Amino acid sequence: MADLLDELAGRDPAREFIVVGADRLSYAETRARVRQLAKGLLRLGVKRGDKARPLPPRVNLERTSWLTATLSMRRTVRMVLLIGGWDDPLLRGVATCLAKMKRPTTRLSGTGLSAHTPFAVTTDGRRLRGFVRVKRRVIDLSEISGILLTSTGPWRPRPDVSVDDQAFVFHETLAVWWGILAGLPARVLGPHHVSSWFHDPNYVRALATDLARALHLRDATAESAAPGTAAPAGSRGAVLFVVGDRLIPVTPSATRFLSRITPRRRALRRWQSTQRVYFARLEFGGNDGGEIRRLDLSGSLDGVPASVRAAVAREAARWLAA
Amino acid sequence: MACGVVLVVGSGRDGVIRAIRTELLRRKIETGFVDEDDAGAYAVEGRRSNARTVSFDVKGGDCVGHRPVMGIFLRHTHPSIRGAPMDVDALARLQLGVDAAADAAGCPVVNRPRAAVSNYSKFGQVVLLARAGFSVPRTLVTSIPEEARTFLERHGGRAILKGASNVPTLASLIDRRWVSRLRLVRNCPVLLQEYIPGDDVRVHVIGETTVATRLASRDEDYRRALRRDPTAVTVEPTTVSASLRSLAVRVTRRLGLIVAGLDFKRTREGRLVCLELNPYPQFTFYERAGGQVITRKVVDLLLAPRPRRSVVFA
Repeated sequence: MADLLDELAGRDPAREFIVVGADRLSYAETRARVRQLAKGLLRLGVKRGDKARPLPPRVNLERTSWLTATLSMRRTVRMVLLIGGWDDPLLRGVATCLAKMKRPTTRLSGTGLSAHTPFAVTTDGRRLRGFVRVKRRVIDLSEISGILLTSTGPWRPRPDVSVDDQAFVFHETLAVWWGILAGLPARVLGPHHVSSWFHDPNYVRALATDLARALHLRDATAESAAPGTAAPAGSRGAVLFVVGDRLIPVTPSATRFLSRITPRRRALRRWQSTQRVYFARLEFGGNDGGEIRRLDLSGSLDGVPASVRAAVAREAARWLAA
Repeated sequence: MACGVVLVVGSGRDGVIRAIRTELLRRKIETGFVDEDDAGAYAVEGRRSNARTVSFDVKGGDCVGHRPVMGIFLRHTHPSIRGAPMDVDALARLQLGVDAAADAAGCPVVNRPRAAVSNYSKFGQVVLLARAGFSVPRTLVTSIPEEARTFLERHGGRAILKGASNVPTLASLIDRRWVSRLRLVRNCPVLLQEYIPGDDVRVHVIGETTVATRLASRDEDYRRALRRDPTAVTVEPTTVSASLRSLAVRVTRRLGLIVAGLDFKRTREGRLVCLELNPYPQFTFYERAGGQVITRKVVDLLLAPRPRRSVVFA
């Protein structure tokens, strides 16, 4: 019902929706009241699963308030925005888990994000407020508990418009979304996909260097960037996923690295919250197991066993819905 | 500095690069210059020194690839700001190699490329500067004409319109006459900021020191005024509060930069509102017009402290 209200308010905001005696509310007015009240309820600590309902009206004048309050109750269940294509195994896995959790989701294709998705986001320096329109639905950023941003596919410019102009628009759009995702109070998995569109390997290297410092490990990620250097010698690498606040080992040897990281868990969390990295694939190596070889912010699930894929998707869904 | 060279990377036509090279020459310091205008003539090679260390050799021009580098000054050029056609692939290869070397180097680097990423998004930077403690203007990013119009009305029919990314754009003061043109934001998102009348103040952070310059111009973007008439902007040294100086130094350091140019607007009440932070500031203009010393301080930073051993050679 709350979603339908959004859609109708987007289509015909001035049309009357609730008429009780002389009390009349348009779709837009109702939506505004519903959102305001829902925010208040959320601030009071009302959350999914809580049993609450507005008292039934005794006089006509209270009926509009009762209706908006009922709709606001629906709004307190915050949604997860999935950005990317259905062909992405992580997005598919997370969507399935969220559906099992009965958590509302909306999907926006990656190309939709980089092209003409209408949005307006404002900040006064203290708070970030705004909305994005997805398929005629207006999604208030404050209603989003989490965003999953997966691979968005290659940029395909249109042949009938100047490529330079399109490149500028593409760059500006990504810059805006990068800023929004960085400032949003919601949980975001994979915001670095946007930065990867800038094709800047320096950024990922910087994150890896900071992580190595935090975990008291050697940073061997720069070596792959050095033109002409051979692959590092030493033992076979161990792979694990960072998903939200959990670490999921992929290879059996990763368990050894987990025990190495465990005493530095607090430093890892600090690095995560500073850099906003809640989804990554890490490769460790070296004869003594003390070096970070690769930090993959796209968190590719290629070559990962099905059981680990399922665990990663489950953990990602849990974290986004929390 | 007999034990090594200072590596300078950028376009030979860039005034900042020229000023740094001149200052190094004046101090008789050996310099390796990588001219990005001739990117194809240079190469960066990585080699494994031992099991743990990778070294970088920069070769081409006056870089011979075996003198240890004790300081790096970087100011990359961009194909779009060059008049002449250039080998874009060669430039990209060279810049990636130089960036990898600069990020691995233990010596002072002005500035490490990895520290400059906040510059990609002006909106993200506004959020970051506000969180750091600066006062920032109310800002809107949108691709919806009605929202842009509402923002304009809410701020008295005047607002600043500028690009949202690191691509250089000039800020424009828009008013109600622009309303019909705002329909075009459907084609490309824009960044709108509340208009703050007043003088511009540029604060350069150089290590632990700051240099503040006031700029008074009739145009909302003094750079546009300068293009029309080089004398149309009054540039003079100014002072800012100790707390703001210390905040500017802290933010610069926290971002991993050692030199930065912060742009402010001084309101009628004397409050400084931060607009943005430039990780690769064009400081020679302020130095020349404001009579302040910046290049010398930057070179001082490049020369000290010296690392025991280098992993970059030129």
